[in-house]
Amino acid sequence: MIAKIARDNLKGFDPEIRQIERDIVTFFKEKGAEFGGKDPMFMTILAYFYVRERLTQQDLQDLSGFSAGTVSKVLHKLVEINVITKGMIPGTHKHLYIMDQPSVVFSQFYLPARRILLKYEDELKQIRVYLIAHASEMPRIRGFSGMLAAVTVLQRSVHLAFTLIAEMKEEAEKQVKK
Amino acid sequence: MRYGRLNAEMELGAIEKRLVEIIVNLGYFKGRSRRTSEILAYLCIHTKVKQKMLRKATGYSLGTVSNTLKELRQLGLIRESRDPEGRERLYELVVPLSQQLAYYSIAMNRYFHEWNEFLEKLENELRKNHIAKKKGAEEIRHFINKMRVVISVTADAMRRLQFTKPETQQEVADK
Repeated sequence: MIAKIARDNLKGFDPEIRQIERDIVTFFKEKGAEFGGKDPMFMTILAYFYVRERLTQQDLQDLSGFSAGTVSKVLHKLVEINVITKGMIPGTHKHLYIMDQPSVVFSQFYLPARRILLKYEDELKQIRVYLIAHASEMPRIRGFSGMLAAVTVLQRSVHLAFTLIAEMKEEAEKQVKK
Repeated sequence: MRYGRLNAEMELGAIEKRLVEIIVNLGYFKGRSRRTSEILAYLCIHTKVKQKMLRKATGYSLGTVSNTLKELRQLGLIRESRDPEGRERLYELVVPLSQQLAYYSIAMNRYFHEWNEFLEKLENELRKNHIAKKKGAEEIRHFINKMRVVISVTADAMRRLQFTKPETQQEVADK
């Protein structure tokens, strides 16, 4: 309990506000899992970035209670998909992780996500064409129909995700102009 | 004929591996671990699976497979049932892959509604006199404004794509 109070003071939020922040983290975690099957630890760290914007790995360990390894893995993913950026704290060897405004995040996220989704959309199309072409030889083999159904749905989902992020980027840019 | 079938099985096996890899890589955007995504991928392709099949397909130990299935059950993503033909348990996605697009197009309206309600609750909390000026309140206010933008951008984009259907007057009235 004492350690928890010390941690909260260290992070500069009043205990009542810290409780609100915890509610936000819980909401992120629960809704992320319920509506998108997202990883709870990933959503916890993401929630702290939405609230605090600039954090070190140590800050995240203190706030979330996760191990250094877990925090490091999630940070690596968030940097890789361009949701946060990594910088240095001047005069130290410490890294600072930053989440920009939503419009910037959407734009940063857009290009790498687009590249990956386009690649998979194309590959899924090729797999589907191949499966349909060989349908007469394969239908009795276990897993064929499931695989064909999975490819069809995935192809549609990837196309939708691709169009969606493009729309989101456009919407975000409009909101900034308003 | 037998050779042909073997060939087809091998081809299908290679395609399955590639599909699993694609699903795993797409799961990266959801922050999932490779282990979780891999097991979910097999559930997407095979509908109902047993632990032993997952162990054979993924190469993970039975303990790892069992723990991952437990995590996925706790997250509400999969369900467990009894195999009528044996003693092993069967695992399947709560929302099968084939129904996921339809499911999410309905669920997303609820998602946006729950987010807006939550943000309103936070705003009311911050309006209370004894909290309004406390350390960290400004950050929470900033968070609320930011999330309103994120939610509105996502909802507008989905509506434009007709992924989510506009709510009927009755649905609005029910809220």
